[in-house]
Amino acid sequence: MNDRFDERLRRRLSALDTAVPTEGSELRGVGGASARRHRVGTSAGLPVGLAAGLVVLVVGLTILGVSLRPSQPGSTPATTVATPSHASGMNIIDAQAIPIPGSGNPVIVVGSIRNGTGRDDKLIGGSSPIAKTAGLYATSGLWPIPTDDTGMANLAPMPWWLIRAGETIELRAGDGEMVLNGLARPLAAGQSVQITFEFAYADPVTVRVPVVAGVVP
Amino acid sequence: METATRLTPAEAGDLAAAFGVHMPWLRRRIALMVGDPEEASDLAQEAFARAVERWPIGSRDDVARWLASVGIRLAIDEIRRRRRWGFLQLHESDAAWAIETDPDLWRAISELEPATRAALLLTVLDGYTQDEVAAALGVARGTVASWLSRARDRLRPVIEGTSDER
Repeated sequence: MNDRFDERLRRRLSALDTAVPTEGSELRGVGGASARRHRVGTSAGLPVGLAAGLVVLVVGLTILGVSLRPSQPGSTPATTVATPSHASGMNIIDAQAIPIPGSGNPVIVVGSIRNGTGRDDKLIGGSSPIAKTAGLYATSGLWPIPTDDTGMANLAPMPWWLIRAGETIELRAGDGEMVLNGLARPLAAGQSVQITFEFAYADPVTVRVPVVAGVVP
Repeated sequence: METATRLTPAEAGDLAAAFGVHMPWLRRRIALMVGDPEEASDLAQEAFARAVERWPIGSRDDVARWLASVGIRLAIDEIRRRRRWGFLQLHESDAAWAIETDPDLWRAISELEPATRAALLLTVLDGYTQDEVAAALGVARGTVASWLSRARDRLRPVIEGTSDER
């Protein structure tokens, strides 16, 4: 009797299991911000982005060295200040682009993002006119970054970085970062690149980011 | 804070592969716990971030068990936190997908204690043994058996009182 009950229960739970909305439909569905309620809850423990950052720090996942960490507020050289943007309530602070070796002339984008929108949000990706792709990744901590047979770096793709209302996350080389790839030619220090940061709710923010040289440990 | 811990290229590759393999399942399982798919995504990602810290974890089965343990515990904590702070209760609209699919069953499992719900999902849906659930949740096997017995009693009217053809 229990077997039949369990089978019925399993079938109905399986139906619920397969009904869970896919990630794409949930985050990038039609309607944008107005279609989503304001989430009042917070996840257990640290915000994911910060937690992931701390995790990576603990494991020692530094791939570029301290000198590449984003500058503290106010310490960015005047000649390389990224254009700040407050239009959507998302402030991009001290963003920098760091070319790294690899096929497709990849560029790591570091910096801070302050969520001044009054609601929890997520950095879900980005784009640049000069890059074919832009993704969010957690790196393995190895240097050189391990590559597969095609020369692509072995990075763990992250669907987003959570940014709680009123909080600031840091994109850091060796932690969570955005990686531009598919550039026609490598960038050089002193240049600048236009990057658009995309969020689940807030409007995209486009900034001009200075290119700085990386220091390989 | 740096440690000597480093991943080999193979381990780093395994980590990236594991993310793709396990994240969808873990997110769905947590969604059945907390209701809100978005919250489930956050918790699943947090579980994975903790996995990064511990990597390498072991075989593929070990990774699944480890993620299930951490992810489900995070979900249980989240549900209890919401109950503690009543104003953080889940909005019904967050679980619309479940209510539309099977409102009676969803309501019934939502009323189970979080740990009981977790034990039910892991055993019935994922084939975990009571010993494995006990290890994942850090309780005695007898406790799990008691939870499952109670869960079946609570769900029996829902399961046996409606058509089997769903």
